[in-house]
Amino acid sequence: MKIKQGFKLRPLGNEFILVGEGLEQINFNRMITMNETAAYLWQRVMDGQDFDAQQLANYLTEEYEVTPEQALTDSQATIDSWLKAEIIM
Amino acid sequence: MVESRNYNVAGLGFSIEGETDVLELLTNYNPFRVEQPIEPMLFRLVLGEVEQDSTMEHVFTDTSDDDMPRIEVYHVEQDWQIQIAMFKSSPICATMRVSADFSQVRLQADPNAIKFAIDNAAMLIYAFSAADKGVLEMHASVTVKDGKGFLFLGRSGTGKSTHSRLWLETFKDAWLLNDDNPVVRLLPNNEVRVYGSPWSGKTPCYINREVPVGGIVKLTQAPANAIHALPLPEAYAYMLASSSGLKILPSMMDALYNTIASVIQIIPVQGLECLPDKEAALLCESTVNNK
Repeated sequence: MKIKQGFKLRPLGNEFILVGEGLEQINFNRMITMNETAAYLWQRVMDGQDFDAQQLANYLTEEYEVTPEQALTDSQATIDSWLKAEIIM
Repeated sequence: MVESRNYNVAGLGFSIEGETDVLELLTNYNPFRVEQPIEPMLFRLVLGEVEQDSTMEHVFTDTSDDDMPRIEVYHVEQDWQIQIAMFKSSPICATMRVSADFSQVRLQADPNAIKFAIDNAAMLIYAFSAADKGVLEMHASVTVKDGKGFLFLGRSGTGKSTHSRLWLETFKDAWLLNDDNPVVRLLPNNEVRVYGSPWSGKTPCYINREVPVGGIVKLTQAPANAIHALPLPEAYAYMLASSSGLKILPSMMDALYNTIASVIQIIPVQGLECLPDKEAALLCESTVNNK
């Protein structure tokens, strides 16, 4: 997996929004809201690196007190929702 | 005779230089005219020839609605070259060369479109050059009641002007500040104020006054009247869609985000689903106007 280019993560109140900014996403007319954990994961991969659920799970266990099993389940769910939102490929 | 005229819109200055008989067409700017240039000075717009440059590199096309002007943006060396057409599919009628920081503008227009060209050029460059000063040039209708301005947002044709008219008919002390392009400012003390401008769409309403913002309402046509506060992400999306700016420019998006994110946490944005009737105005006013 890789993030698509042209998105910007912006804090808003207690949440984060991911907005299509820049020429690549000029026609992206939706807005994705993210909680703090999802925003943390996005920030870890926004340099364009390749990642998979295991990689995200590692990032989660580095930062949060969570079992590796739970981290992997959460990471897979995050990837599924990001794919559905068409913000990664 | 060529002369330069100075204007003050929302406390920010700009000037327009050209033949006197052309400047005389700009009656909508008269309430905003000042003798001396004021600080901060946003831009200087000069009417004259603009050369077509073969090194022009197309950046993007901005066409929001069929009945709105089409804007073509190019890079030329360090500058911008911006072309304007009256409608989505009509030919280009004006070209301007704009310095990278938007402070110097040279505008050439078809003689039969000169007023249209100056208005649209000035509106665009005002928004671009003021964005980093906590300024939002908004697409909204603004009605004032009890000394506060209420902004009605929505896509073209959703009834912004109609809702303002309903307020004017329903509340005898209400008055229209601007019907299409007011200026909103977030001041250093976190006060949010709205100002009239020389641009007001089809309604000639060019009022040089300012009031604190009392409420911001996003309108949607619906079979029944209802109002509710919008979650921050939705409020942000509507405010951004209603604010002018060169949205492909990261620094301008940062500026718009900074202003909008603050404004919507100071003034909660309401979503009004409404019929074009007096009850909509009564429901809206009783919700947003905290006396």
